[in-house]
Amino acid sequence: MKRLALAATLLAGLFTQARAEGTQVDATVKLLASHTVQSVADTNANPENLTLALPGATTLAQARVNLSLEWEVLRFWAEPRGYLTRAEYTIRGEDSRDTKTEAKLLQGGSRLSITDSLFLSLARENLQWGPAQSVNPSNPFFPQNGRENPMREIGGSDFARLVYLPAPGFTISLIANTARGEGVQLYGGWHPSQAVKLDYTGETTSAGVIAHAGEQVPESLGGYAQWTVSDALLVYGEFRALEGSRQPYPVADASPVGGHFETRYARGSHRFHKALGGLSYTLLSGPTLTVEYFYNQEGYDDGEAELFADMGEKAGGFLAAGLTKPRKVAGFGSTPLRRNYATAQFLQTEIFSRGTLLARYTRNLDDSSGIATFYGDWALNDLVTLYVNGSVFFGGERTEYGMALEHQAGLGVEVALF
Amino acid sequence: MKKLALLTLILLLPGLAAALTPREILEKSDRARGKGPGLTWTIEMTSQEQGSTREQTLEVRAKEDRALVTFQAPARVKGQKMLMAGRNMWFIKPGVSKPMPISPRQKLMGQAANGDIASTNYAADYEGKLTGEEAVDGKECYVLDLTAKNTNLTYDRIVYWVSKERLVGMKADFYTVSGKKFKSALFEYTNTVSYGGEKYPFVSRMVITDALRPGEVTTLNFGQVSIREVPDSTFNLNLLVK
Repeated sequence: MKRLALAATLLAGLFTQARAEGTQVDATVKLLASHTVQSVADTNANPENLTLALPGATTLAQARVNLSLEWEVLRFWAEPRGYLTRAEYTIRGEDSRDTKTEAKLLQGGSRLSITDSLFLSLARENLQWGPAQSVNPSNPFFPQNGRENPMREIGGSDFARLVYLPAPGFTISLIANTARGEGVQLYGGWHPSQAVKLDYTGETTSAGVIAHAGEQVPESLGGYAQWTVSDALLVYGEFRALEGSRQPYPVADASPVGGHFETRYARGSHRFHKALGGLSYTLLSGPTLTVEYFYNQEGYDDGEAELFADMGEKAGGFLAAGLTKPRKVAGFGSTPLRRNYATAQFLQTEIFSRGTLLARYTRNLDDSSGIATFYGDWALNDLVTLYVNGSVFFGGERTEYGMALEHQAGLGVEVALF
Repeated sequence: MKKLALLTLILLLPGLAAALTPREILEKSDRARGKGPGLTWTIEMTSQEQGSTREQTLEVRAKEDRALVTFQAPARVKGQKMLMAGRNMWFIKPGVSKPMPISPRQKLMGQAANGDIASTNYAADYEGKLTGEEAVDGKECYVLDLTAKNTNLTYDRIVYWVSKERLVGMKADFYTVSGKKFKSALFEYTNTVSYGGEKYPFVSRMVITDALRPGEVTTLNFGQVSIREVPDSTFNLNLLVK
C-alpha cells in the first residue's frame, strides 16, 4: 500500500512537471459503488454453502484512476485501483462478514515508438482481441473477456511486446508474457509463454493468426476472422488448436470421494480444438442481435461430467458431516466445463442517448443448463451513471450452471469526477 | 453561316471548358470536409433531444478511409473511442479492454456517427448524377444524387447540394438501404486550411437533423483543424487500446 502511494505521488509529480513542459497529459478519475446480492444454491455438492463459501451479499466501493502521458516518442500510462469490499456470508446457517481493502495496479506500462512503424512496450495489460462476444478461443492469455458485464474490469498480465507495421493493414506482434500480474489465475498456476501474432485489416474483413508456446504450456495455433457483410451484418469466427491441455480431468479411483483430478494430457500428447462461429445483425430500429456457437473439445464428456458431479456430492457429504474441511483450488472453474455452448445476445445502446441494455443467454448444450445475464445503465447527467446487472442460473445441481448459484442481482452508481 | 457557327463555338468554349463532372464536383467538396493526407480536428457537439441539451467534445483523426473518434467530454464518456478502418468498426470503452466490433448500422445509433458524417468520402464511395440546380441559403447549388458503389456503405444514397461558386457542400440528405431518409445536414465553411501551398475553405459547422426522430437536432462546431500526415499506427487496433 505504501509503495503504491509512493508510486502514485511520483507519477503525480511527473505528470505535473510534464504538463508544465507542454507534453500531453491526461487523467480520468471515477468512483463506483455497488451492492450485489446472490442466492446460493443449497446442493449436495455445496451443502449449506460449506464447499464454495460464496457470499450472499457484497458491497463494493472502487476508485478508478486512469493516467497517461505522451512525451516525444514515449507513452506512459497507469490504471491504479482501490477497492473497499464488504462481503456477507451464510455458512451452515451462521452469518459472518468480511471487510477488506485492496490497492493494485490493474494495468499500466510504457511504450516506445522506435519508428512510425515499430513499437516496443513493457506493460501490465489485459490483452484482448477477437470478434466473439461470449468467449475468445483465439486468445491463449485471457480465457475471459468480461463482455457480459461492461462495469467489471479484468486485471492485466505482464507483457513485453514488439509491434511492427510492415504495410498498411498488416501488423506483426511478438509477445512475451513475463509475469501473471493481476491476470486470471489458471489451474496449474501461471507459466511464462510467448506468442507471434499476425493481423490483417482490409476493407470489409479483418483476420489474425496467433502461434503460442511456452516451456510448461501447451503449444497452440489460433486465429480469428471477421467479415462486415453489409451495413447491418457481421459474420465471424475464432479457433485454437492445442497440443495438450492443462485442464484437470476427474479420474475414478477407490478414494472416499470416488476419484481425483489429473492434468493427464501433457504437452504434445493429445490435440484439442476450440472453435466459435457467430453473427451479429443490427435492426433498423436499433438493437443488435447476436448468436454464437462454441465448441470446446477440452471440456468434459458425459462420463467425466457424471464423475465430477459424483465426486462433488460425496465431498459435500463429508463436509456436511464435519469429516473434512473445504480446500480452495486456484483457477478451478476458470474455463468452460463442457464441450458445446450456444449464446444469444440482445444489445441496445444509445437509448434516448443515455442508456444501454444488454441481455444474454448462454446454454450448455451438453447438460441443458444455462445462464441468463443482463446489464443496463442510464446516465443521469454528464457525470453520474446508474447501472444494474444480474444473472439467473438454470439447471439441476449436477449441471455446470446449476451447481452454485440460483440468481444474482446488483445495483451500482458511477461518478466521473473528471 | 460558317462564320456564325464558328462565332457560336468560340462564345460557348469557355462555358464548355468550365463544366465540371459530378466526380470533379465531389472531389472539390470532399476536400473541404476532410479528404487529404490526414487531418485532426476537435468537434464541439451540442444535441437537442427530448427537450434537453447535451454537449460532447470529440477529437477526430482521419486519413483516407480510416478515422479514429475519441470522446473527450463529458467526463462519463471521456476516453471512449470508435475506430473505423474501411467498413470495419470497433468501439472501445475505458475499463473494457476488449474492442467491440460493430456494424456500420450500429455506428449510426451513436453520436459519433454525427462526427463521422463530415469525413465521409463521397468521390470515392459514391456514383454521382447531376439532377439539377437549386438555391440553398441564397446560394446557387448543383444538386447531385449520389448512389453507393457497394452495399457496405453506411448510407445507400445521398442527395447533395454543392455551391456552384465555392464548390463546397451546403446541404445533404442521407438515406439508408431501405430508402428511408435517415439524417439531413447543413454545412458552413468559415474555417480555412492551408495544404500544398494552397488555401481553401474548410467545414466549420454542421447542423444535423434526425429524420426518424423529429426534434432531435445536433450542431457540430469544428474547432481548429490541422492538415498533416497522420501515422498509420493511429488506426491500429493493437496499439489503440494501450
